[in-house]
Amino acid sequence: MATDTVARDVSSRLLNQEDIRVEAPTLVTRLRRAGAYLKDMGGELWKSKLASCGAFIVLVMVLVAIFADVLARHDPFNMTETALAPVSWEHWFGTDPYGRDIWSRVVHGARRAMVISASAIVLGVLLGVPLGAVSGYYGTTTVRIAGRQLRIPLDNIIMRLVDAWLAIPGILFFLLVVAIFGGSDLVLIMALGLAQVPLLARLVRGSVLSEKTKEYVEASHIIGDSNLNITFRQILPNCLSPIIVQASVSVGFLIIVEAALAFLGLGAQPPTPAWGADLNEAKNFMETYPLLTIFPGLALSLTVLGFNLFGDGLRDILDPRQVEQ
Amino acid sequence: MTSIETTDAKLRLSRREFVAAAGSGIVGLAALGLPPTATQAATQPSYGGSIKIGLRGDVSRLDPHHFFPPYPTSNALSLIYNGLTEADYDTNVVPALAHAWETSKDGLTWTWHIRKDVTFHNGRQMTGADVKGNLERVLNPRTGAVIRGELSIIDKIELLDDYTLRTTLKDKYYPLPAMLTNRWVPIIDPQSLDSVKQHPIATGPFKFVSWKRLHTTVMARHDTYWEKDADGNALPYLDEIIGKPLADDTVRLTALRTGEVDMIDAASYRDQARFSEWTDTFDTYQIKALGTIWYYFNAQRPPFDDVRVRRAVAMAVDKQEIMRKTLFGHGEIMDQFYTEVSPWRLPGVSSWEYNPEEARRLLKEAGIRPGTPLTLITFNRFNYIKEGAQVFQQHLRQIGFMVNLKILDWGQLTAARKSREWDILGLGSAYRMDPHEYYFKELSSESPASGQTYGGWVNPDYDKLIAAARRTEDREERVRLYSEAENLIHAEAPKVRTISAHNLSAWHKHLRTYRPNIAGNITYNAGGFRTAWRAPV
Amino acid sequence: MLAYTVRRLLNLIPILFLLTAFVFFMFRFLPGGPIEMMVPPDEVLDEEVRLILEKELGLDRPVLVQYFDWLWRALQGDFGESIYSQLPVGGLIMERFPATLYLAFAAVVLAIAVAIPMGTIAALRKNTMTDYVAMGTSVFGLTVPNFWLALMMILLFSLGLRWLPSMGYVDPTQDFFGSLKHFIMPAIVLAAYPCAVATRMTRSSMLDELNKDYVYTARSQGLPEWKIIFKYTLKNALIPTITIVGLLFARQLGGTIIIETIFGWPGVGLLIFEHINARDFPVLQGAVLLLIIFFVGINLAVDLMYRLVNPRVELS
Repeated sequence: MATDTVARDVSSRLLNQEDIRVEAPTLVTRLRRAGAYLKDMGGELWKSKLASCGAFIVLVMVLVAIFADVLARHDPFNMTETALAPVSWEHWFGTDPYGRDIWSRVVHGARRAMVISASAIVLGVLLGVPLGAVSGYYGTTTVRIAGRQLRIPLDNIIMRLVDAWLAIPGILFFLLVVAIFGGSDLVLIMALGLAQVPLLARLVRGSVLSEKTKEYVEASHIIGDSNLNITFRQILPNCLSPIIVQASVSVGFLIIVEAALAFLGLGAQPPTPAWGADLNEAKNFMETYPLLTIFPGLALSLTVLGFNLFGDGLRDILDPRQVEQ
Repeated sequence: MTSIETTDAKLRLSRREFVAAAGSGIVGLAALGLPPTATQAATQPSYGGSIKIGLRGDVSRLDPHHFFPPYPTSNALSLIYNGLTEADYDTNVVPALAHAWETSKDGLTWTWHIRKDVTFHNGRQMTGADVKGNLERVLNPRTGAVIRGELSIIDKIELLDDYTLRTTLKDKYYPLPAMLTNRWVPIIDPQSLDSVKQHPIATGPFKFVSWKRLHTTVMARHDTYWEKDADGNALPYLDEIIGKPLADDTVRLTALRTGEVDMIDAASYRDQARFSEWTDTFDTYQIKALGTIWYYFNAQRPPFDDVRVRRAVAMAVDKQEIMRKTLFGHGEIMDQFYTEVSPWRLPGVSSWEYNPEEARRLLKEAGIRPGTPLTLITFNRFNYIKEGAQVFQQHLRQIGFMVNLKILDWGQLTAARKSREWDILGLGSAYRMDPHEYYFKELSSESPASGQTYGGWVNPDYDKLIAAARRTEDREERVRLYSEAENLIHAEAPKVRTISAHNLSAWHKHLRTYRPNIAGNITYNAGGFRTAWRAPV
Repeated sequence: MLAYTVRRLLNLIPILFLLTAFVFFMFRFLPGGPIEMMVPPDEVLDEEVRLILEKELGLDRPVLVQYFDWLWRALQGDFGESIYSQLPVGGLIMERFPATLYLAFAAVVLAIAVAIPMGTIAALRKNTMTDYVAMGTSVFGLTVPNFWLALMMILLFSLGLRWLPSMGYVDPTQDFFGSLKHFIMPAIVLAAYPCAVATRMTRSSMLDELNKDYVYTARSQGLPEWKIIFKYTLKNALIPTITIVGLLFARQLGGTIIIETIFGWPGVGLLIFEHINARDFPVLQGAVLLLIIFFVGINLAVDLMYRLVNPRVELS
């Protein structure tokens, strides 16, 4: 998926944002600024039809994930004698070959998709953002090891690693990781999360590079703030927008990857209620009971649609040049 | 001196018998509640023609001695190999490349009389020296043959003359002929070992032509094959056999329906009901087969080191439900390894009745609290295995266990089994011609596999029974010993057996006098591909 | 330009080095190691055989020596022997590579053929129903997971209407029209995503171009609209589209794994999938390395071409 291209696009557009702040802001002002920023964003979001539509879908899916236990009308694991039942009041989406309620499984599948992709993206942000910030801010750094001055091209090293990482096409990386370490949830979250690191790192690096030259950074230097302080407490909060956009687009992508792996039989295993795994089982019944293939796939597509619309809308809002209407 | 000798006449089936055989298959089908298929027209076999078969599995590798024996159940390649012995239709072990053998009174010396009319696919005549070369290769640890452990009972291999071979054993070992079938020791040309990985040369009715991994295996008629039909005509009739691995049940069935293949093994169980719609184009076949699905308990760690817990689970399994949900009724409920069709079906074996209340009571007595976690590992390859595990998981939940079901692929399963980090292992065993292969390897604590890859159950009485059985020549006595062992298994419940899947297969009507073996489809004895022919359409 | 090319190529060296190391060492984490994988799950390997096999496979040497040995052989095109089938890995891969290329290429051609007209029309008819339909379709292409799209197409065209075979492959060099029937569905499924991206790209760059001064000048001089579009704007607008399709083409090679699995398409993706279960790492290493090198190579080629066509891009 071309999320990295998109990300490159976004970061390059964001390079030229005007910023007139000169003084080093205090924590309170920074928080206030972040609050106002989020409020602005919310307002803009409301104005964009597509984005609010996406936000609505995302919200619904999050709620479904949270209240899966309430919404599921049956135990998603419970096998009954009513196998392959058609759609009815009792079974809204029918039942699967083991007599399990498909509605309940789809609802619990939403929880799984959300938890895995959200955990992964949090992991990715936690690792990728500092990495990108360090890479962008420090460039080449000198350290003293055993009394000798050593120039370490930190930026170069990190970016080569990122390039190498990005050269592994598509789903291949995940396939290999799962083949080697197994398809447990922890491995999935780690792999999906780590895979987001390069993109985010590159994105943040770009933003930090452009922020670095601004006056408020120089002001902080003059005041005598430490480099670490400047990077993480002053520059980073100003690079939030691309991170948020990238994260929301990535969640959609991660949900697809998780489902695809389970579909290949490499991630979630039956009887875990997971969309991809359920689709994998359903494919054996395509000819005789096609309904099985429809509902988990619809849920999956709808969720991804939500995150994509939301991400696109956000991008439009955060990058005024892109808005044409 | 005891001698087992079979005249050629006994080996060959007359055409009348073929028809009778085909007929009995159909009767079996009708008895199982399926409409009988149209009887095959008994016409004169004709030479020539090519048959494509759709199979569950692909050839694993071409060197037949190296780790993976050519499984006759799912692998077309077994058609190119002969062994010294082979399994007949009922899985009795009968002569093949050795037309006769004798055992000395002390049971240690076995003399093998090798056929003189056998040629390799490259035209060279096979002699006793070639057989000796094969046995030596299998016994060489460098080769990595799976059967080496069992066959290392052989102390000496001597050539008495060009066509007589003598093997001397370290101890009495009467399952020996069963270990020399074309599954375990397929005879290949020891002079062509350089090319064995790319182009094996052997003696079977078909010779290797090409193999495109996971795509096609092509085999052509071996023109100087040694077997003849009842009228003295050369076998086989078919010119060519093409094997196509089609792992997915639906795909295999579709390939048969569209004519892409002429025959499929292991038709999907859920599709079986629809076969009646197509009986004018296909012959279908359903019989009880060799092969049983089971669950091993890890007896090396709690909670299954306690016999009460094992018994409780044995009583909690609703085998009927597993059969209904995974085989759609096309199977047998199993309490022992062999189904009724096997000559080794044991009489008087007890079974556990389904009784979840009693199971819960036993668990309580053993101090197992509800919610105790269990890890159940199984294989992702065969639908009825992984689906069965899901049903079984439900049964375990009903008696209060919290089950973590792991459906693993081959690599993960290999690692997981050996890690011993599991409580229940769900899989199946098939194609064990001699009970020793099964009872010793999986359950005797003297077998390294038992403790490292199976349940690790230890019972000295059992070990003694199994050791005595292999040292016993008399078949009745062996049956008695194995029955006793089987009752120990029942009482101690190191494992629980659930079902045996029927052998389902189907083929177009132009494939004539073909009949699958109960051990699997591709084995060619007694009406298999060796004597099958293709009628002009 | 030449200096830039050389620099990019030099830059590739550490990347490829890292990747080969990744591909090689990743498989060292496998529980049990290669020898354990050679043995059936219910067999126990005795120590004697293990030592012999270790020596035979060279696994008794230090791991770095193994890596450089593997790299050196791989550079010469020798990827070793499959653990499972004992066949040469190079042959296994080369047998499958044409099918993957064929599918990926077909998908890209299809994507371009649909995306450029659709994107152009959407831009010209901005904010009309046509635009919304085109953009809606592209959102669909971006959103629907390709494996589900594949299932739905099989459901409709193979099982429902019975127009197309649900799986299989016919060699196009032997029976071209026969092969079309088999490849329509996988190609469409594979094309969906790049097509959607390219449509959006065409639309937005077309809009950019249409707002440029030269268009106004041309219009004011009375040039017919179609001439402006076909002669000037489209040509400029296509550059980013072609670029992104080029990049996606490379990416498709990885993405074909799922499609090939569903449609039984005998390409490198299916090869990888089939060998993952057996943890046959010589095959996996070879196939993954090939895909990666291909991916990196196409990326580079597209980048260089982009700069060649569009000299205004600074050579940073």
